[in-house]
Amino acid sequence: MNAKTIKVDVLARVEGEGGLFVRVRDQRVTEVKLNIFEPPRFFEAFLRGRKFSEAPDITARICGICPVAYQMSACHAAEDAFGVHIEGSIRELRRLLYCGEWIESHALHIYMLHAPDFLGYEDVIQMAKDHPEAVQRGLRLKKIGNQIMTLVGGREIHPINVRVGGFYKAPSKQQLKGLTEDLKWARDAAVETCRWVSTFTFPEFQRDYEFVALRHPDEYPMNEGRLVSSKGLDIPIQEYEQHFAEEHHKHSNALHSALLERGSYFVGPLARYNLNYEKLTPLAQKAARTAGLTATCRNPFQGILVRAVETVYACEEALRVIAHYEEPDKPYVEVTPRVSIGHGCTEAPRGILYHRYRYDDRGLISNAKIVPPTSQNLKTMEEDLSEFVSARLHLPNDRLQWQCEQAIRNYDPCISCATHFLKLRVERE
Amino acid sequence: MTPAHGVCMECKRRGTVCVMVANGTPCLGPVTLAGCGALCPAYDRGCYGCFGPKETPNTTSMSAGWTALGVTEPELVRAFRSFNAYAEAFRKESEAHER
Repeated sequence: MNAKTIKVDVLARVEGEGGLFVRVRDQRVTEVKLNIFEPPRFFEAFLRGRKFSEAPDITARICGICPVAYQMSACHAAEDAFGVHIEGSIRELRRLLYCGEWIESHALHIYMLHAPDFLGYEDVIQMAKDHPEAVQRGLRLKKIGNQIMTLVGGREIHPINVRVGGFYKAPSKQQLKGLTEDLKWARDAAVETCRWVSTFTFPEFQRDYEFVALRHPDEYPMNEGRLVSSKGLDIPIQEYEQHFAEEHHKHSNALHSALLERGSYFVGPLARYNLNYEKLTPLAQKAARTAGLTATCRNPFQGILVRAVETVYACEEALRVIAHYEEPDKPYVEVTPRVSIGHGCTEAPRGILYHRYRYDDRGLISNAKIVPPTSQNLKTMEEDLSEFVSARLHLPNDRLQWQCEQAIRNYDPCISCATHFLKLRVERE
Repeated sequence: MTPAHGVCMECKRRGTVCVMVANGTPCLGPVTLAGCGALCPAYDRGCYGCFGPKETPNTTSMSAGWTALGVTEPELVRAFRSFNAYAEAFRKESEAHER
């Protein structure tokens, strides 16, 4: 019988609980499943009957790595509903906080979760024996991202300083200036990260993806912009649900999101990079070119490289915000609730995070919808695996399994978010 | 080890002026377990109780204080019914304001 199964019961180095199953029969992949068995978390139901002002604190708990993304999307949704637009220093502080999250999350994924795949280690602890300098660099980089979150947000995990309309308390100019030296080190370390990662071997792989990300006329996208794609989508975020829908599959406690017109799509650093390359700083672009990238990158295995480029950008952007920061007169803008629907869509480190709330006249949430980045990438991840395994059936099982896991980690999946995932099984029959 | 005392104690040690007394900001600090370093009051907001109830919390008295500040019954229910909704002291207090 010419058949086999690749099976990973519990995938390591991803956030959350999931597994992977591939069935091969007569040299053909017949079945690919990302089994998401992390239990459903019911956050959308928790939010019913809560006040608009509680959503940033509650939704932040969906993720310990990207709580800022949840807070930002929740705040922007309420502000969209109540007709408030945040500008000036408060907007800049939000960007700074998001830079902190991008730096800590990208550093975590590059160094702790993904690099061991490329260098042939089970985990970062094993890797540290042979690459102590790199691991130390990664840890310090992460720590500096955390420092931004602690200063602006109050703590590095589940910040407490974010509110609808802005912040409870704005940091002083002096406090922010205190981050400058560390951030300069971080910027250089991020450039070094690009160089280091560019020495890795990347499996040859690409598909005809539809990349989806925000695009803003003046900046690399974080909090605001139109939703655009590499296949012509260009909509305001308020029209998200006219173009995207979630569906349930039996093997996954995370919903799968799809473009109604064309099916699977790809969110995250690669999508942002391909759709917004010209908005990167000259240094980030240079780091990308030096690492061998052009303005378009379609190989998901090079996502680790693009994350490093985005880390350079985030450090520079944080330095820019700090250099120009003026304390706002008041750290927040007052909002007045009204019967309305609000949409928020911001760029979490691993891709767009969409929130939609319906509010009553007292500002209580009557209905909430949250679409995290990982559920938007699930379809693409399964399709990647199918094609990837098909072209590599000659590989021995252990090698194939290794590369399949690596292919999943390309997406920096956050299963805990998506269930609001990983084990691998390849079955050769 | 998480200390047994409340968030109020940490504000005093940290030198944070009481947000409830000085600013009239409703704060769950008096009934919430310490350990965070009294973060929220240091950022000019009331504690939202994420560490759960401290030992022997006087939730009834605290609710009366909140009511005096103009907090409504449904708001009290929501305040006690968040991350530690089922912790006994918080559960009982939220139920008391639902009747």
